[in-house]
Amino acid sequence: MIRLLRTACLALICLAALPATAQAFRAAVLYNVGGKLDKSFNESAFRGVLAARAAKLTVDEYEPATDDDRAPMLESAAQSADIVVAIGFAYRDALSEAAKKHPAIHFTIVDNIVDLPNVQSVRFKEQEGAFLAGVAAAESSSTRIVGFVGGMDSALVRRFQAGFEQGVRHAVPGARVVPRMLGTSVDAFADPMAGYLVAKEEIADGADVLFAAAGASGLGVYQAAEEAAAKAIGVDSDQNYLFPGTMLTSVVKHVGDTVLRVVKAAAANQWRGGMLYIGLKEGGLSLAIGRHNAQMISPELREKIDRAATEIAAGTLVVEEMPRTRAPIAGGGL
Amino acid sequence: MGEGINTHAQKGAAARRFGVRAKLWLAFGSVATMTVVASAVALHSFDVADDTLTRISQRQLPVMAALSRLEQQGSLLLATVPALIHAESLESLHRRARSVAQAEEDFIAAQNRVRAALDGFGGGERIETIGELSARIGAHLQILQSAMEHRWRLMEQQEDLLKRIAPLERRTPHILLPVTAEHIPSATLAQLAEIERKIKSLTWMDAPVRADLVRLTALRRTEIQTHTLAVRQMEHIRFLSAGLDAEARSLIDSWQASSAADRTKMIDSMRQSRLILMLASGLAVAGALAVAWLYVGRRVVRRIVEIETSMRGIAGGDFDAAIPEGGDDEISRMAAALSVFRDAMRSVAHQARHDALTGLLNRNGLMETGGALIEEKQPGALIYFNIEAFKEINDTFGHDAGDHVLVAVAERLRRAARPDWLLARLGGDDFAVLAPDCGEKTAMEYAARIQRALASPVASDQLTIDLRAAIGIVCYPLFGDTPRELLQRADLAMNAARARRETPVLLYEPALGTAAEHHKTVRSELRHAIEDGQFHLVYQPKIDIASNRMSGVEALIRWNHPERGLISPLDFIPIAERSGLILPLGAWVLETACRQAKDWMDENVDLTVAINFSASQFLQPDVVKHIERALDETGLPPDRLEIEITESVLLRDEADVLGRLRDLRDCGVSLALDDFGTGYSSLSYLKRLPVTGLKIDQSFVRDMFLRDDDTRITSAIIRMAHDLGLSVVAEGIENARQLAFFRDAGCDLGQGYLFAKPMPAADIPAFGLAVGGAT
Repeated sequence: MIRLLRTACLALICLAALPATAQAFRAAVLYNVGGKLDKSFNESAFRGVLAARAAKLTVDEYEPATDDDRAPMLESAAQSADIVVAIGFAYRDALSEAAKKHPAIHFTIVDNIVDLPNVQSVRFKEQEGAFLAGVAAAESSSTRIVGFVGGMDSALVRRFQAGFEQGVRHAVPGARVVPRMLGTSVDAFADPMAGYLVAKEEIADGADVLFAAAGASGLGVYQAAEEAAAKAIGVDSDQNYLFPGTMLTSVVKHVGDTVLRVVKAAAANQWRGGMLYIGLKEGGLSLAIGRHNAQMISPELREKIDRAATEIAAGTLVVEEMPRTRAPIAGGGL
Repeated sequence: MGEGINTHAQKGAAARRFGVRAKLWLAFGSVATMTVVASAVALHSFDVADDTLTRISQRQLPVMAALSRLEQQGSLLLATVPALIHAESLESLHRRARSVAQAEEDFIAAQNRVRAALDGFGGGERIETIGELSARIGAHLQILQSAMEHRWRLMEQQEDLLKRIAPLERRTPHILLPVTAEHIPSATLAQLAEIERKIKSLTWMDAPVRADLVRLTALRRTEIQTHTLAVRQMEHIRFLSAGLDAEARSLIDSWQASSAADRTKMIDSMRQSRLILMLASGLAVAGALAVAWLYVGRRVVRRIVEIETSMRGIAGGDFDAAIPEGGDDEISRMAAALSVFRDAMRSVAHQARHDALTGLLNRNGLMETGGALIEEKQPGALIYFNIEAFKEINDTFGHDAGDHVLVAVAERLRRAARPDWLLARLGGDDFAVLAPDCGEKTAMEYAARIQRALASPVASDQLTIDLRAAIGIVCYPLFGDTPRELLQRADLAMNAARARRETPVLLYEPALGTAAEHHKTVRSELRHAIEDGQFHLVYQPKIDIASNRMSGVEALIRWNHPERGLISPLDFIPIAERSGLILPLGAWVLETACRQAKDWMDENVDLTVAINFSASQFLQPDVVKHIERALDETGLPPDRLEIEITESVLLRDEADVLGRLRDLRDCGVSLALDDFGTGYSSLSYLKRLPVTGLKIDQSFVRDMFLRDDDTRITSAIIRMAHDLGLSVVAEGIENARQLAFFRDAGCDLGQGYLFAKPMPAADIPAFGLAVGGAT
C-alpha cells in the first residue's frame, strides 16, 4: 500500500513538475497476490520487468496484498502509464472495468481473457508444458504411479492436469496419475501445509513423482516429496534450486519474456489488442534443466522430452486442454 | 666582394646563434622539459591514484556496504524466525509472520543491492548461490508459516470438539471410559494409536460421540504433523542460514581480498610512479648539474676563470700567461680580444721600460730589471757615464745631430757589451750599464772598454763629432743594494771624474759621498748666510810697484759661520756657482764694495775697488745694468770700480761676452783678466779683448823661479800687455826677490803678503797712510 502511494505520489509529482516528460513512455506491471518474489509465477514476471528496465524503459510495479487491492491499483496505473500489464487470471473483472473506463489506455492481461478492443489477452498453453513434465515424471517413476497436486480448481490448473496426464500416458502407457486439487478459492495457491498433507496422501497412495501446479502451496508438496525421498516437479518459475535432489524439473512459464515483449511492443507503438496464445512453439513454456537437476535427467529421457516438445511445437502431437477426469478436491485440511 | 662580406656576416650570425647563450638556453630548455616530464608523471600517477580511489569509493565501498547490510539483514531475518513457532495465538502468528516477511523483503532488498553493486564485477555465481539460499529460506519460511497457521486452526478445532464432548463425558461413569477426551490434545503419536484402538472397542458408545472422538484424535495427529513440519522447517532454515552466512562471509572475504588487491595494485602503481618520478626528477637534477658542471662549469666558467687569470697575469706584467684557445663562442672571441689587448699591453710595457730612441732600457726598466739582479747579492758594478759637452753638441748642431750621437752611442755600447750587461739610457746623455758578476778591477776594465768604444768620432751628415765620456763606477753590494742608491753614487763618481782631464773615470768611494754631503749642507746654509749677514768683505791692497804706494784694493768675501768659524771662499764659491746662489751673493758683494769705495772716497781715501765676477755671474743677461745700478745707488764713479773676470768666461759665446765687456768699458768701468797664465788663453786672443788689465796668477808667480823659461815668459807677458795698453797686476808676491823681478820687469801693480794680507775695510785708510799713498 505504501509502495502504491509512493508510486502514485511520484507519478503525480512527475506529471505536475515535468509536463514535457509526461510524453515519455511509461509502463505499469501489476503482480498477482503472493508477492513478486514468490519463487514462482510473480517472480517470473518480475524478471521481465528487470529486463525491460535494462532496456531503458520506465516500468512501475504494483503488488496487491489482497484481491481488494486490484481495482484501485489498476486505476492508478491507468492514469499514469501508457500500457498496463496485469499478471494473473484473477485480474479479469477488475481489468474489464478499468479498460472500459480508460479506453485510450492499452491493457494486457496474462492468464485470462477480456474481450475489449483496448485489451490484449495473453494465455499460455500450460497443457503443452505439463505434457513434457508428464513425460519426465512417468519415465522417472519406479512405482509407475505419479501424483498431481493442483491449487485452485480452475480451468488454468486443469490445463496443467490434462497436459500432465497425457504426457504420463504418452511416455509410459501403464502408468497412473493420482490427481488432487487443494481448493476452490485463490487461497489454495498460498497454502503450503495443505500441499504438504495432500502430497503425503498421494505418496501414501504410492506416488513417487509429484507435479504441483499450486503456486506457493507447491512448496509443501516439494517438502513432502523430500521427506519421502520422492521426486517433485515445480511450476511457473525454475524451482529446481529450492529442493536440490528432489526437484526433477520445473515447468517454466516465461511470463517475464511475455512482459518484456509486450512492454517493448507498446513502446514501439506496435502493441495490438486481441488474443495471444503462447505455447511451446512460441517459446512461452519449457522444462527447466540446469545444474540442479541435470544429473537426474538421463540423456534418453532428455531425448524423449525433446522429441515430444518438437512434435508438439510442430503440431503433430496435440495436447488436450481438458483432463479426462475431475480431480478430487482435498478437504481434510482446512 | 659583397658576396664574401655577406658570407662572413652569415657565419658570424651562425656562430652567435650557437654560442654560450644558445647553448645555455638549450640546456635550460632540456632541464625544463625534464621537469615537465616529471610533472606529467606526477600528474599521471595522481590520476591513477585518483582512479583507484574513485573505484574504491564509488564501487567497492557500496559493495562492501551492501554486503555488510546483507549480512546484517540475514541475522535480523534469522532472529525473527523463532517468533513464528512461539506465537501465542493465530493473530500473533500473523503479526509475527508479517514482521518475518518484512525481514525477508529487507533481506532480498539487501541482496539486490549487492547484486547491483556487483554488476560487472564478477562474483555473480556466488551472489546467485546466495540468492538461491535466501529463496530456499523464504520457501521454508512460507512452509513454516503455513504449518503454524494450520496448527493454530487445528488447536482451535480440537478445543471446539472438546467442548462438545465434555457434557457427554460428564454423563458417562468414569470407570467405563477407557480414555478421556481432554487428554487427546496433549497425547503423543503412540498414545493416539492406543486411544484409537480403545475407541474402536467402545461399541456401546453413541456413534456421534465416537465419531467426535475419532475426529479429535485425527485433528491431534495432524496438529502433531504440523508441529513436526514446523520444527523441521526451523532446522532447514538454520541449516540454510548457516550456509547463507558462510556464503555471505566468503563473499565479503573475497571482496575484501579484491579490494586489498586493488589497493595493492594502486600502491604498486604509485610506487612505480614514484620511482619514475624520482628517476625523472633525478634525471632533471642530474641534467641541471651536468649543464652546470660540464658546460657552465667546465666549458664556460673554467675558461672565464682562465681568461681572468690571464688578465691578472697580463695586468701584473706576465705577458706569457696562457690565454685559452679553441672554441667558437663568445668566450673564445673574448680570449682573442684579450690576445690583442695583451700584445698592446706588452708594447706599452716595453715602452714604459725602454727608451724609444735607442731601444735601450730606460730608467724604469733599469730599476726593475736591475733591481732583481742587484737583489741576488752577487757582486757587480753599475757604470754610469755621460757625454761631455753634449749640450753644446745639441746647441751647435741641432737636436737631430744630438739624437744621432745618442743612437750611435747606444749602438757602440751594444757592440761592446757582454751578454749579461744591462744597458740603459737614463735620459739626456746619461747612460748606465749594469754589469753583474764583477769586481772593482773588472769594472774598471769594463769602463775602459766603454771608453774605447766611444773613442772614434761619430759621423753625422758632413761633420764628425768627437765624443768623450766621464764615467762613474759603483760596486755593489758593497756600496748600496738598491738601483736608486747605486745610480745616485755612480752619478757622484761620474761628476767627480769629470774633473779629471786625462782619464775621467772614477770608482765611487764613501769620501765622495761625504764631499757631496758637505756641498749639500753648505748650499742650504748659504741661503741663510746671505740673509743673516754672515758674510763680510776684506780688502787686499794693490801696491804701485814703482811708487810703493797703494793704488787700490781687491775685495775678497769672507764667511764667518756662527758654528764653524771662517769658511774659505774656495769651499763655498764653487758650490754657490753650481747652485746659482752666486748671483745674490755677487750682487751683495758688488753693492757692499761699491758703498765701501764711496765711503773711502768721501774720506778722501782715493782707491779703486776690484771685484771678482764668476763666469755665471758675468754671463747674466743684464749684468751691465746691475753694475750701473750699483754705481748709481752708491754714487761711486765708474772709474773707481774694476771687474775681474776669469778666462773661462771667454770660452762661452764670444760675441756676446765681447759685447758685454765693451759695454762695461764704455761706461768707464775697468776690466781685468784674472788668473792669467793658468788657462788656454793666448796673448793674441788677449788682443781682441776690451780689457784694461790682466792679473798674473799667484801659482804662476810662486813657481816662476823654478824654470828660467817662466821668468822670461812673464817678462814677455808684461811687455806685451804694456804694448797692448794694459796694466799688469802680479798676484801672490811674497818675497823681495819676486818684488825685485816685477819692478825690473816694469810690472805696474803688485799684490801679496809681502805688502799686506787682506784686511777689514776699517784698516785700509790707516794702511794707506802707512805706505804713504792714497791720500
